[in-house]
Amino acid sequence: MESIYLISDFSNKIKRLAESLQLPAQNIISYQYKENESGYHTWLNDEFKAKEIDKIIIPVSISNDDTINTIGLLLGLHIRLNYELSLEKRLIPIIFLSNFTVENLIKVNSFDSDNNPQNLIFTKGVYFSSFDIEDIQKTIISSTPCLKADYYKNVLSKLNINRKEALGGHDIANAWGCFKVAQVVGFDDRIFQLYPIAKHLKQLYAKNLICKNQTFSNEKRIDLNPIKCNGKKILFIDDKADEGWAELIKNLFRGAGDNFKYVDSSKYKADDLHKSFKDFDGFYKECQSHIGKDWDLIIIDLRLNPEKEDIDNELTKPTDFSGYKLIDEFLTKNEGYQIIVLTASNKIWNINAALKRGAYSYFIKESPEFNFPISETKKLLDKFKNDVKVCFHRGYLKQIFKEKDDLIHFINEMEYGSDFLETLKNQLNLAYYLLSKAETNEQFAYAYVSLYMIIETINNHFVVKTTNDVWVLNITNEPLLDWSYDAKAKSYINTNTTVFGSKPPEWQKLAGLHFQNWNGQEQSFVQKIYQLITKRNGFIHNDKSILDKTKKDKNGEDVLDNEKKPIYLNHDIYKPEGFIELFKVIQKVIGSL
Amino acid sequence: MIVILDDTFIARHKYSDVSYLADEKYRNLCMIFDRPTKKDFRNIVVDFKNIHLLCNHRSLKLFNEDQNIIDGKQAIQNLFIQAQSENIPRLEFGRDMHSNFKAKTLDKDVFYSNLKSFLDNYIDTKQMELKILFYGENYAELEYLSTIDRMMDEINFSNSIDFKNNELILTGIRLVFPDREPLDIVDEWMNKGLSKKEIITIINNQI
Repeated sequence: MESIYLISDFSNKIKRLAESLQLPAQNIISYQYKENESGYHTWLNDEFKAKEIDKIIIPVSISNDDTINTIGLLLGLHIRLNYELSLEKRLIPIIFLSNFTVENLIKVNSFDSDNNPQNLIFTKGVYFSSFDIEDIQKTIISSTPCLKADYYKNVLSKLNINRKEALGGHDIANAWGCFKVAQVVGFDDRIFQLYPIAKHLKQLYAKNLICKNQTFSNEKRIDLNPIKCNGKKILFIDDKADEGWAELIKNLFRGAGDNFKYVDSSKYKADDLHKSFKDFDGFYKECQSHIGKDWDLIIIDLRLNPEKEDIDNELTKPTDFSGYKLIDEFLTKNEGYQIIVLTASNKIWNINAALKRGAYSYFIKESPEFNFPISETKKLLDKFKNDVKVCFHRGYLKQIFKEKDDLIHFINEMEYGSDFLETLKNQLNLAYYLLSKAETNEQFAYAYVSLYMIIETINNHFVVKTTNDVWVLNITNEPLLDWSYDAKAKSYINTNTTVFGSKPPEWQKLAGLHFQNWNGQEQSFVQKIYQLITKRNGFIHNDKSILDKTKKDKNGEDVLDNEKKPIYLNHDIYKPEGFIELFKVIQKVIGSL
Repeated sequence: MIVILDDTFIARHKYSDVSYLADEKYRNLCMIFDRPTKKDFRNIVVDFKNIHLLCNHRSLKLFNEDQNIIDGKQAIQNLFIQAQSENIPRLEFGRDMHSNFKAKTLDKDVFYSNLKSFLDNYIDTKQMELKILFYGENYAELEYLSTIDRMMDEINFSNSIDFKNNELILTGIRLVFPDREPLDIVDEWMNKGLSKKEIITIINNQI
């Protein structure tokens, strides 16, 4: 026995109809007026989940008031596009009732031009009847569900549902983007519970896209691996933090535990449907309060004040976005902050300014317009995860930048010639810049070489050749002695002989400065300088005997690492570690000036 | 005068042409508050006798003199209560609101797309026809169809011998067959022994 249901508006005609069709009372679904589409979705979803409905009868015009309307067609759309229901339940026969013929119905009504509910009439599984009881009974008997195979071709592709212009693109893109990522990581059930997300995804516009793309298919939950972030300090700034994103991002970074922080945007928003800011300045100030703190990763949305920065058809300069300004403030404090910018995919071009300013990368909040398959969302997430990994790896930049800045402040206090001091500062900045941009082996080595130039600059300033060819330390005018390394004694020695003639090696100049001028005693420090300069020479002269030098055991055999590979002593010039080691030495040298 | 309280009005020109509201013809008739303050509310209350309709954005926000949002829940509520006590009709519009004439709620796009027709009609007739705001300037056509729809309901669910006494049926017949006597039409249907289904078909063909 089929279960036939009727949506009733309690008008007399529907009451009489129910009697004539001898429908049991429990098969009458009382029409409930809802203020918005989300309300209709929830109501019908609850009804369909609670009941076994085989066929449903819906009057086209629901007695909303005294004027005819086409609300019934909208209800039909909500049933056909209810992604929360199984396809079987979604595709039951829908029998629309109207006194008017289809032709007249189309002719006399002006339909909602965004949802175009009239299109539903011409799709599979939809039937049309007058209020004549015999007609209705015949239609009930002859009606069959839309086949699953016909759903896309004969239902979804025939509908024409557009985003209502006044529905904020920013809002729906946020909900959509959040939900899509949540699906990939298996967090969608939780995210869908959140009202700010659900209210957008229950719009017919979003429902249509979800059904078209089978977004709720078994493709979901394809990446359950959290991001490795134990001990990492992560800051998340987004005006939509309180609308799903904070929960989602926190879930992605759950390994960070309490070290994951976000600015709670809800504290600054009006208690209204649209969650608009009532105190954006307060929100922005709280964001600013995190500048200077020790973050391993900062994620910032580009447009934090969408009411002013995300108005359709109005161009805002990317550098005027509040998110951009915040990024600028963070990076002005420390260029080494690792920042990933969030942006909507429908305005991706806005990201260039932020990247140019120094943000490391971006993460796209998918916009529904593109309706990417979930596999594409997975690719976006993979890219994000990889970017996060790189950002964590680049964590040294923040410390180097801070120490470089400290050095520059120290240099500013010095009383040497301004040309010399400016050169030192420029070289420090250049070396940092090259390091911050380095991605390949060669680029790291270039940054190293650039940093090394500071040693030459210092040597050139403090160790000079006199007119009679003698090299002297120009502060004391003391001659540079012939420092050399005594391998047996494992120390640097000199024969109390003045160096003269051709230019001595850089390490020797620095040894002279260390032992003679700065009263240094550290043999290992000078040895380290020697090694670091040799490493630089190996790269500049492409001397493989230096570059590819390996660590040996006491028998002269290569020491192997865990992967059974030789340990190359100078290959760190291709990595940040080489730069950091040289930087520490430079810090000490400058500190000795 | 019509008062519109809409804190989202500034962005409205992106979606609808509302530039006409600055014309003198409409300016004096329709006051728009896009950053309403408590002072504005006091002025509105003082001017209640001249206000014939109050329209507000669903999630209206109240501002201080510096144009910053303040907590205005209570003040807004009070204004509405006062308007109600003065029998000033009020309607509420909002993004994605389902239009409902009885509840006096409607979609913001619909409100603004029908506002000019409503105001023009108000200027021409001195009558406030709220249905224009809900259904557009062709609301009369919709009413015509609603009347016919009700007639067809009565035909479907009444005994045919009662047709001649059913005012809803006779009113509908007058609209569909304006050149003929309604009772003659009913007689004709009876004499021909038409089924209700056939009568409905005839009416549909006549529309």
